[in-house]
Amino acid sequence: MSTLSPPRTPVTPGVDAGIDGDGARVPEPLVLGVCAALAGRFGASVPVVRAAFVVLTVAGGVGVLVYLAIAATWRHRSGPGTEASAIHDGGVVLIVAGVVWDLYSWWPGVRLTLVVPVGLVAMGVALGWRPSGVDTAGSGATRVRFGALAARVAAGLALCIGGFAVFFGQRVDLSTLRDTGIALGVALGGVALVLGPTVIRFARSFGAERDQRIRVQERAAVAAHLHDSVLQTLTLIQKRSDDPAATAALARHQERSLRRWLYGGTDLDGAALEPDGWRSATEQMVGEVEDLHAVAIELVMVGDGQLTPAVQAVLGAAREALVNAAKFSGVLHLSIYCEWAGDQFSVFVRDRGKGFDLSLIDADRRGISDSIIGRVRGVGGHATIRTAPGDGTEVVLSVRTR
Amino acid sequence: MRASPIERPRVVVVDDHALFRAGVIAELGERVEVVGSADDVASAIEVIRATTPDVVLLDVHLPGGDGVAVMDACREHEGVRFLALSVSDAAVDVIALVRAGARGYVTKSITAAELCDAVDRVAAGDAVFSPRLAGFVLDAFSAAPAPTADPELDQLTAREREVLRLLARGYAYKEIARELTISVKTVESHASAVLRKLQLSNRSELSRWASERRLI
Repeated sequence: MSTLSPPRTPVTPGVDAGIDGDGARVPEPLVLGVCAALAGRFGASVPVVRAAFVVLTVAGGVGVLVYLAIAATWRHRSGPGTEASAIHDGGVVLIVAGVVWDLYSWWPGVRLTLVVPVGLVAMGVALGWRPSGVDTAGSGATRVRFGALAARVAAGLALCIGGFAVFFGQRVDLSTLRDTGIALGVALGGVALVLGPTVIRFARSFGAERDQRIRVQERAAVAAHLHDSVLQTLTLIQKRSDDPAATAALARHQERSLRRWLYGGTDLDGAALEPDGWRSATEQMVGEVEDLHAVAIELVMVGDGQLTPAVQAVLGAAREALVNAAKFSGVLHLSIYCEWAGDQFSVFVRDRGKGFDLSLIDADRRGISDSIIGRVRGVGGHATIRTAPGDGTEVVLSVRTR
Repeated sequence: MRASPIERPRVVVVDDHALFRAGVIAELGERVEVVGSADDVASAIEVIRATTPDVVLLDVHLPGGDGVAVMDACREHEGVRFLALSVSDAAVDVIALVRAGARGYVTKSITAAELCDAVDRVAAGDAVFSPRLAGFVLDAFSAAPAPTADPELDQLTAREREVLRLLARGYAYKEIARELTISVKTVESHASAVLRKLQLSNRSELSRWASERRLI
């Protein structure tokens, strides 16, 4: 028995000590942190407490049981992620300790020779179940704490194998094969328990991390594309700074795509939310007129409806109205308001330009009567033009869709 | 609540882009008295408390919080009125600021003359609707009227709807008054009533709409 290595043998220097949130130095638990917690609670030196447990363990195995009992009942503070992990540890240790205690008291053939190896296996299992840094999100945390995790798994395995060695080294003392089977089962189960949670945890955290990385990459790709196009636009603007109309058109075009990405029309991945909806169609139409005719158009859309052929015809007429206003109104700012009220779709195209005399349009402004009024009437809608010289123009288009 | 028109409103400009701030101050020119400016939430609160201006031109997004945080911190100064001025088209931003108490919302593409008019209007206690804000409100109140706790607050009157539609079509208050053959004062009171409903209504569509409809 004297060769038995105590459960609290230092594992690696990496897990020997840690720094807590306040910067104070707190002993990192070697096994479950019971010694460190006890020392902290009663103001004793950690090595002294550990030595006491070693002595108690070597001299009859009581140390292990006391240690496990304390671990199971005390929410010790042992560095990061303590509360949940302490409960978790406690549960596992309690179960294993219960099994050990049963074996110890109910089977007459079972002696300390069985308690010690099973205790060792229990320690190993408890170490393996300890939630480690892998659970914390973020690859940085995972890398930093990988050493501690590896040390824990190694310690757990070492303890289990130690349990095996002690057990088989003394198997001549065992009276029945049944006990051998039980102990072997406990040890093997211990190994599975040690490795199982760690493997699952690794798989989960790597999966989550991969998903996160893919999302970040996708967003970065969309953003990079946008940044490229912004840079290009800025370069073009500098090159063509002597052409105010072209500069303004470039800036407007870029602004529109940036807005669409930021505020609507597309989701974060750049795909249109509703590519075939009437809002998208209207936005696109307005954008084309802005680009082609170097005007700023304020677009307001209200309500919901379907993009039927009749609505498309009205939008086509609205486009003509905008183009007319851009060409003839003499102002660079136009407004278009589109509205669904029940099954009626209405469009109001307005400018504050010079206006004109409606009675004179028939001869030289055929465009208005054909492409605007004719188009809307062709789908059963109404078109009216309100204008007077010096008073701006408003074209009102509407259609019922049922 | 309604103050008499102020000769030269005292204005604080809050925006984190120095260039834009300087541009706005230059545009406002002689029509208003710019008594201070700020570039984040903390300094904005400090400046507003120190100067108690008539109107604060407030950007939606600021370092250290947002425009709503500034308004919340300056609640005790009842005379200070806020006009939101932003590049953001996001309905959520617009609705949040107006519901937090802003007297209006205009986008940064507004012309200098329109901005001065808007400041005068807000200083006088009136509401300022850009066409886009009018569209937002029409959209938010357009869903079929559900059985609500307070129909007074949760629905627009036919007249208010008419005024909003004209605002969305780009009409100025004066033009609306002429169109509906009512006085400009009546148009203003309709606009203020709509703003009040927007601020006080618990209409569930308002919040749901604002969060769901990210379309312009």
